[in-house]
Amino acid sequence: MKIIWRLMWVDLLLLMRVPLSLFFNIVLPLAFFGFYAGFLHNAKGPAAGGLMMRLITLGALSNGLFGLSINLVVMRERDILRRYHLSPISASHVIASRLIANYAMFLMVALLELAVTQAVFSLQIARVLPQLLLLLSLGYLAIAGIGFVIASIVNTAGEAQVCNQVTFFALLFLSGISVPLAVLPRILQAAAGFFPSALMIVGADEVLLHPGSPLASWPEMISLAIFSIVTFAVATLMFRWEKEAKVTRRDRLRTAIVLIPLILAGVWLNGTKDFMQRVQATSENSSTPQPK
Amino acid sequence: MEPGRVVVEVKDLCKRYGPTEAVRNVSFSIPENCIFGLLGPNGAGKTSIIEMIEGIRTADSGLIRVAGLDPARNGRQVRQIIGAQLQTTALHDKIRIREIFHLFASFYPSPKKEKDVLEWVGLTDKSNCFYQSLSGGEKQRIALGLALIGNPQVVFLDEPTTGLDAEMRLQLHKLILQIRDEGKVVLMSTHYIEEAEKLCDVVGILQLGALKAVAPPQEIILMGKVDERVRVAFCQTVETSSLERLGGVSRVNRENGRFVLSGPDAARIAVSVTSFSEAQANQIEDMKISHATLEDAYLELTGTESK
Repeated sequence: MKIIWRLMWVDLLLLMRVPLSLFFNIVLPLAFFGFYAGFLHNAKGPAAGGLMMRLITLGALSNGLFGLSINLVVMRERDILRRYHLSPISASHVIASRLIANYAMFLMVALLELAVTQAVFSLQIARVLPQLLLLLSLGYLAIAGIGFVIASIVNTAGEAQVCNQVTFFALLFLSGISVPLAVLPRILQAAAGFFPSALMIVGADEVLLHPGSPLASWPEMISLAIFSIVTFAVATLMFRWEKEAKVTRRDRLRTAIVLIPLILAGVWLNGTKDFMQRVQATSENSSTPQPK
Repeated sequence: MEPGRVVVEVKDLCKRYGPTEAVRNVSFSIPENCIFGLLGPNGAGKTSIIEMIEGIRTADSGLIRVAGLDPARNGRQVRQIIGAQLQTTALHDKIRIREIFHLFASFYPSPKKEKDVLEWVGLTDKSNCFYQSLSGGEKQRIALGLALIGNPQVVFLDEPTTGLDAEMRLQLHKLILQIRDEGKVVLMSTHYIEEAEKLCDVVGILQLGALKAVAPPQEIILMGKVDERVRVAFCQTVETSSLERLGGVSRVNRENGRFVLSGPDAARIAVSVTSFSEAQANQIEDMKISHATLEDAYLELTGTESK
């Protein structure tokens, strides 16, 4: 535990010392949030809150994919991981420490945004804070897990950039952040069950819409937990310390096994009675905030 | 640990990279309190051997033991008792020197005090600096410090002085000898022959992945069966044939106006030359005796013309 703690502390220090990382992890999400909060300052209720959840999810996507994943590939390319490899630490130490450091940053920004949401939109966030934090945390872990898997199956930072861009836009488009899910074809609405960013939003809206029901978003939480466990297990197994250890096509195919439990979780979620109703409700939720 | 106990053992080690046989049936063992040097040109297989012993590269076949442990199976345990300096060490640009040592010390069960290691590598006054602000020599010293922070039994140094200026190289030589004097085993690779001769208790000469010889430098010099040389210049003209007849001389060459007399024993040649000079009443203008060096033996054993 001491090793993870020290590694995490150094990772946090480095995140704070690199201006670009500070900008993308803290300044940009808060600026976006401030802009939307100002624009919708007269809106009230879960609808405005729902929009804010999308911004928090956007922050998770940018932190988990661009921050975590690319940073790890750069460390491998620059032979920093190679130096770590000569000491008695394991892949799980590196993954866990980086995850905790980046999660701490995400959580700090998310808590600030939730506090502003409560103050500006008169939402009783404090009442549902534990459920919301659990859901957002599971969502962040699932997205970070995808980022780690990408880092393990690419050979260069350039490849990582391309893979993360594609994944980022897929998760952005099919989550209801950029386009409300209600306007998408039904098949794409059903696909939301397979994407952690969508599950984060569906679940968060469910929590906001039913503040009296503590387990309102349990199916999304279970799916996100499965996502997280599977992706982290694969990322740890596929972890490479050295840039010379190129990933082969066979390795990439083997990594595709990760998709099986994720597909099963999505199928199960779509099979639950009210998943599509929840997606619809979420979509309506995101499209209704009107300044009073 | 008992004196003379073998700490590192390598037997019939082989490694291929595609069609290239990088390491071919390499065997050697290193006792405690010993600096073992792997000497060879670039591409001889030095780094591959070191990395297989460290456990960060897998061998195709052969046996490796570090303090009785197999690095391939007990990687983490082996890495707890070794310290390693890579040919080039990369760390985060924006990390401070004291933070680096604080971090790496936390990886080991009984590390050395960070302050002591910083002082030992002479970087106490730089402890607050960022890694990116250090010079190449200072970064090498950081790498050496990191190799020692875990208080290791075995220290691996992969070409530790490559790219350093003469002063920095001498400083590092002192540090390497100090590591051995602390009772540790040092396995270093180098392509500087004089460095191996100066620092190593035992040298292994590598060529194209195979060990040509493993012995202390003085024994390797004898193995090379290299003639010793006497360079001499006389005040008056001398016929080469008359020098060839002198006792102990097996060959005579001319080099920059001087005669170079070669033979197995330079002292005997010198005595013969002095007697010859007196007998001929031809004064010696200049005479220089050269004993065989590790470089001579290296060139002889590897069949290389020059390094």
